[in-house]
Amino acid sequence: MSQSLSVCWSSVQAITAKAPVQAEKLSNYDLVLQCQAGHCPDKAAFAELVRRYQSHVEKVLYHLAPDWTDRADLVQEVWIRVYRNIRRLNDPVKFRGWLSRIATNLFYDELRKRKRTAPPLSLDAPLSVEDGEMDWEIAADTPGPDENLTTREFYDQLNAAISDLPEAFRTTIVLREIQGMAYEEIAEITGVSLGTVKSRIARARLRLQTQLEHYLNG
Amino acid sequence: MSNFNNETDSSAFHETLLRDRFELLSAYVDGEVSAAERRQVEEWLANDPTVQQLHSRLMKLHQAFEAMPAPVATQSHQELASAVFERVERRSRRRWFLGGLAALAAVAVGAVSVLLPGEQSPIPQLANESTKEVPLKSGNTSEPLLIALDRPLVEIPKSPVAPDRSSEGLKPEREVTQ
Repeated sequence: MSQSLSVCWSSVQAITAKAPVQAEKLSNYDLVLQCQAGHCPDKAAFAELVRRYQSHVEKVLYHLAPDWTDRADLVQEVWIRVYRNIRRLNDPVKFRGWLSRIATNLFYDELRKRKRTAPPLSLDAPLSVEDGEMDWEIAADTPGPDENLTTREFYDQLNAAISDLPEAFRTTIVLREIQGMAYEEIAEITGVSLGTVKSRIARARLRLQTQLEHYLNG
Repeated sequence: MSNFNNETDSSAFHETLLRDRFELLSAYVDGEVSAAERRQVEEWLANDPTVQQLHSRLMKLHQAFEAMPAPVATQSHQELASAVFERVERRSRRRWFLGGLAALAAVAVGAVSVLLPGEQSPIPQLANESTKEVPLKSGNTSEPLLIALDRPLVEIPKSPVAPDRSSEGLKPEREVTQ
């Protein structure tokens, strides 16, 4: 064990941890349990938790706030909240959903702050009144063979299409498709009716389908 | 547009129908429909090629969301974990510092109140002056205030400033002449 003292700090922390099993070898469930043990999370276990779920947090915040330049700070704040509150999570199986909720709540806290301090974007005006900004035109059935998208190009286009969606539609579809939230939960978070959630999700999908029709028809 | 136009000639009605169907299909993909709605959608899926195609696109889009790679991380997981530990510890130290500062202030105030006894103490004290009797000086030359109860201090004119006209029948002149 003494040889491992020369490696990175997380290994050093692992040595001092009480649990004999290395954090990397634990299942997600046991890893969360280990983070919940003790007065504050074991550092090695927590670092491993960060390693496993960091991409999920990045993905959620990337799509919720594609044009925010300080997302790294938000990501850090999410994990600080996780560090402080992980003992309150009753069921370790629900860690991913709990983590998503923390990221989403943080995003909405920030969004409210920024809307208070900055004038609203012109995009908000028609959307806040009515959801009539996006039409229902269905994409043509015929595929466009002239555009042969590679997978990479497709995901670039998908990312661009998501970030082009008006904010209310983007957040709703992200909460559904990336975070897997139920309509009721989305309605609660976004403060709209179930019918509005259903309509926004459908219209966002229709817009995305229209923009990506060449790939989706293939 | 779509192949739903066998339902009606009206474009507005067609639009509404299209929206309703697509919404229902979208909710069906998410498992957010009632039993009756599910049966309805499954009937469409069995018989309507347009609905079949829309459903196929929806499923592809759904899979694309699932398979979509995460964006490039804003920092490595080691950097992120280190930053989290550092910020948590810094906030914790700051809380301790502020707590210590408050404790020191409390001790300082206590010490001052002990070292400066009695009335010099800056600490607020309960009023105890009422218990002290202030004796009148025996050689007090000032006369005590005497008020004659049967005479007013100031001569009050008989005519009031604002006579009660209602009770006097609006005749104030009568009082003046008296």
